[in-house]
Amino acid sequence: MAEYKLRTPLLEDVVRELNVGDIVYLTGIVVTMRDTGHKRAVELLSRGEKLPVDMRGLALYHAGPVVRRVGDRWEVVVIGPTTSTRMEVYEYDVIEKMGVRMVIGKGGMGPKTAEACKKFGAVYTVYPGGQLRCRRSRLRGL
Amino acid sequence: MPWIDWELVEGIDYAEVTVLLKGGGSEIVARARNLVPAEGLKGVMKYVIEAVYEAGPRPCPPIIVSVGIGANVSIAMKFAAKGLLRPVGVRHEDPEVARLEETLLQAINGIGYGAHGMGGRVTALDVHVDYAPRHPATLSVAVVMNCWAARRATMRVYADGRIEYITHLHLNKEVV
Repeated sequence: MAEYKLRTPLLEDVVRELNVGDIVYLTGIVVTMRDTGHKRAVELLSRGEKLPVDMRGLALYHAGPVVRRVGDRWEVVVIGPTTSTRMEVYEYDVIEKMGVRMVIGKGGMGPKTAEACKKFGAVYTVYPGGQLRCRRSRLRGL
Repeated sequence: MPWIDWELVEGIDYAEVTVLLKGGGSEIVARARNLVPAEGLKGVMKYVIEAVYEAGPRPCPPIIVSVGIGANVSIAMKFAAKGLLRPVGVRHEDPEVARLEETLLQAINGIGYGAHGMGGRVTALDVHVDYAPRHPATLSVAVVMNCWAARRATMRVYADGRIEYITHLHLNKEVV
């Protein structure tokens, strides 16, 4: 088991070096999407439309964010991982068409995501749930 | 609006309110089924162990497993859901049910999923079983799981309006 300190944008050869059991510390831009976000992204891509964020080399976080409005900005209350298998039906397309290099979630994913990871050079990682406070304190901006 | 379940208890003059925050990941693995009565308790145990095995790391192990046995699936599910309110480590008052809980816990931890499916000795923190009387023709079983975070809060509201916090004792000092 090795430890890696990585930054976005992630390069394909770096991601391909990772092995099961490695620990990754990630700094950079992480985009969150869960069920509806995935559905919309895949729909937009299938119509040939552009997404508001260029995800190439970035990390995609299956997150359950709780945010509250403070004045004219949003403040994150907690942002924990959500069960990834629900996104299995979309993830192949997301990795292929959006160029996501790292998927962060919990509970693991299915064979289609594994195939996409192998084919296009991406990795699935697990962020243990239940440490919401810790994660919030490390958040730099929204 | 959250779903609120009410239960009337004779002889008390307060309302006890418990909030249970449950995640979608641990809920999508919930299941219920009518077994053939001939399958008996062995069938129930098989069903529970299979439910945990097939849930894999999705419900955020180490989990709390709650089992309801009853005369139909809705009653079984109600008992299973209610079982999540019981604190970890508290056994059923009926020694036979308590033994069943311990047997199931041992079997489930034998699966070896460990925290978040990364492998380990503790797949479940506890197993709670409860049952309702049933007709010999039906044997319903329901299994509900909760992630290890298991966030719960209980308070009592007395007839005179006084509030007592049962789980978050520090709040009692702040209440006049």
